[in-house]
Amino acid sequence: MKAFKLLILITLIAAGNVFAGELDTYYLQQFGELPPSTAKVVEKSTLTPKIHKCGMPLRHNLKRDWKKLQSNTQSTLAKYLKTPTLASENSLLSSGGHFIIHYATTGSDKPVPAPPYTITSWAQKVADIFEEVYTYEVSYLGYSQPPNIPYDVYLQVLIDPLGQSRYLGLTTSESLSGNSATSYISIDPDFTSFFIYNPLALLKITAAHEFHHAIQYGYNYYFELWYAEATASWMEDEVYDSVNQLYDYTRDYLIKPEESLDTPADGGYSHWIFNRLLAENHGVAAIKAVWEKLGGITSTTGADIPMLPVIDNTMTSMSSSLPSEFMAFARRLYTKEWTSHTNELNLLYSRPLAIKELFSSYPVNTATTQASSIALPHYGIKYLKFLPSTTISNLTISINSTSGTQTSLLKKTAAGFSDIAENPGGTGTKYTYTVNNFNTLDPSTDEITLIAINTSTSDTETVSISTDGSTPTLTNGVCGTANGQILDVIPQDNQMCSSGAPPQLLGNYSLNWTCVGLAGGTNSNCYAQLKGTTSTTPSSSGGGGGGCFIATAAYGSYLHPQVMTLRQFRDRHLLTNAPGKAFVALYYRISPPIADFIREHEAARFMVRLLLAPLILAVSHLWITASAASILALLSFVGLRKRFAARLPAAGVTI
Amino acid sequence: MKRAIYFLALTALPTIFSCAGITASKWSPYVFDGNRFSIATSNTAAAIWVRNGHLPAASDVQPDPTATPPLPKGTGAVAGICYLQSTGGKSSAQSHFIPYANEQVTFKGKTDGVSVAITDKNGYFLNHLHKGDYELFCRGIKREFTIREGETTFVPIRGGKRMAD
Repeated sequence: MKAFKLLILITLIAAGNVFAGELDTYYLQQFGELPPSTAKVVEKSTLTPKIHKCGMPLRHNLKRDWKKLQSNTQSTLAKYLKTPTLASENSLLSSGGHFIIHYATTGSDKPVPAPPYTITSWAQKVADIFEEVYTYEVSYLGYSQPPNIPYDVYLQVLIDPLGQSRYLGLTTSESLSGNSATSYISIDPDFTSFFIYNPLALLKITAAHEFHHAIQYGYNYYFELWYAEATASWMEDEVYDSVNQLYDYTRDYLIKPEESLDTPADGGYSHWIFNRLLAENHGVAAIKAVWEKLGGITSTTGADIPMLPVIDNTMTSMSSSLPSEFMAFARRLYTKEWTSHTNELNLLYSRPLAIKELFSSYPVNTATTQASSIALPHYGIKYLKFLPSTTISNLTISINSTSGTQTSLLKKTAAGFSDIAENPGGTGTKYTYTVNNFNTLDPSTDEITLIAINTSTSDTETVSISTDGSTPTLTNGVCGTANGQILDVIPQDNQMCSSGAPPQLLGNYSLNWTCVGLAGGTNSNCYAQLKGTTSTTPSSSGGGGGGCFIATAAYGSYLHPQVMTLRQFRDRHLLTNAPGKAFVALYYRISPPIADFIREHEAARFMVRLLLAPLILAVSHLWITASAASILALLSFVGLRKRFAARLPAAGVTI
Repeated sequence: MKRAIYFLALTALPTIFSCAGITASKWSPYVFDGNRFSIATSNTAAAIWVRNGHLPAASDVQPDPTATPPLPKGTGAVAGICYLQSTGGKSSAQSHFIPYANEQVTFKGKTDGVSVAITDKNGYFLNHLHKGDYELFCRGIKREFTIREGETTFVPIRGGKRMAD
């Protein structure tokens, strides 16, 4: 009887493994994981593949029903719930119930927060900050919450695959249902390794940024990356207005406004400023409207959905259009007439907007040496300045352009900005502008600027210009009083150049400029340093980074943690004393051309990184370095004494 | 004797040409660059090797021509990669892909049945299918593609997306 009962039990267990329950079958099918043995064979050949069924996964529900599934099903589907694993993990639910914060209590991922936080109180702080972000982005701004609430946030060290830099945060998609994807966030455990901002500030903006990515995945998995970054970065300043890290990126756009709006070199961070224009013109809800519009679109090919048409459709529903908003954006970048966050304009314009061409000799036409035809990529901007000339009373600028372009001519005087009207063109000319009393304008303060944009999808649009007039008197460009100075703010044009054309900024991050001679006059290269930053003497290519040029060139970013270490060392230990300052000044005098070379050669970058490694190790562990140096000095001293003593004649010996 | 020579010529020539046909169908290595497959321009550790009329091979070195059998009549091959796209990075903007290794991918025919393949350590998968239209699934993401007889169709599929910073 006992044996019979045992047999029944074994049979029941075996049957349980063979016949999965309905729920198991459902999930296996949803994830496309139905075991081949249970599927129907339809292929007939020597290469017959395994047969299967497929469906869409629903990871969130899978999590919910996990315990109801059989062990075989769980082992097959476990990979779909695979999220970061932390050593001796603890977790806590945020006060509002929207987030689960996971953190390690041992190992390299264990948070070591800055005082006064303990691990537990820091994890609680993280939970509170994410709740704060949720309240702003979901409850206040009205974005839809991500599909998987409570949302998982992992605290872990995030190193990029090349092992070169540390991420602040990552948002990774999990599973897709229709257009909407679930996701999870990983953030740095404590943010103590990023020197330029305090840990709490970095936690705040990272939470605001990453949680918006989580929202974006919820609207539509097939978002275009640039707009996702542009919106998440823009959101940082909406939620936490005082941190202002996002202005570190706008300079990349301001020095290269011709860069297409949807193909930024930096991935999209710098283009957040376009969202500010939309928000100022149509309210912050305009950005949400773009995402809602995207949420209703299905990717038919599996490719990301182009965002420019989505923005255009959204603007159309607001009685505007993307082309008109883009022209407004180009104008606002130039005029600086922003209506929000106005106390941050000095940060936005920490480096001036790049002017593509500066005309000081007239006439301008195809026969003159300066470019009279400019190429514009799609949704790119170029600014062209016309310097006043005493010999031209009325300047006529003729425009001949391809169909995808638009231009505006702005006059800046002490009274402010005004538009110069467009006149119909004649033969070979599309239209003209006439600047009356051109000779009465003050070259040191007044400006005539042509703003040219391309609002087509073509990258081969052009704007050709020609002017009338004759060449003015020869004037050499001479540096102004700001040259060579350490300054609190960016100097005025007349402080940068005492004669010649207004300054032409060079380079990316350094405050170098050229005072351009007029009518064939000579140019002068000048430089200054802004407090809290570094500067350099002009280099031929105008390269340089926001700090250590060679290290920036070697590591590829002035925000790289290793570069930050060197910058911190410079600021704390070199710029605080006279010999250190002299060394820094010498370094900035000689390093730009070297940095230019390094930047262009991968092998050189590698070698310099190799050479810098011990230096960075030394400066980042100063007390160890100092101790090691002291011990070495002591040992050397003791050794020398012994050798000296050994060479002395022993007592009682006569040589 | 003349007849013998003619006979030999008639029988030998097609044999020579058919041999030439086989050797002319050489392996071509293709690699994934983060967006698409393109022919490898240098020696690469992991490539998908393609040869006319044969099942492709994922290999570090050029495969033995006899290693993969010819495609059955009425079928074509599909080769691809399932990967996680990673993009962004405030301190070091970059874009790269991380292969999903040992991942099941599912092929669903519009008029045919369903079959699966498992990705290798490089995220590559291979299969042969009857000619026609198919849907490919990897980690819940779908892509459509068409199989043509005797040809290999490359289908990279982004199984996930990761935003950095």
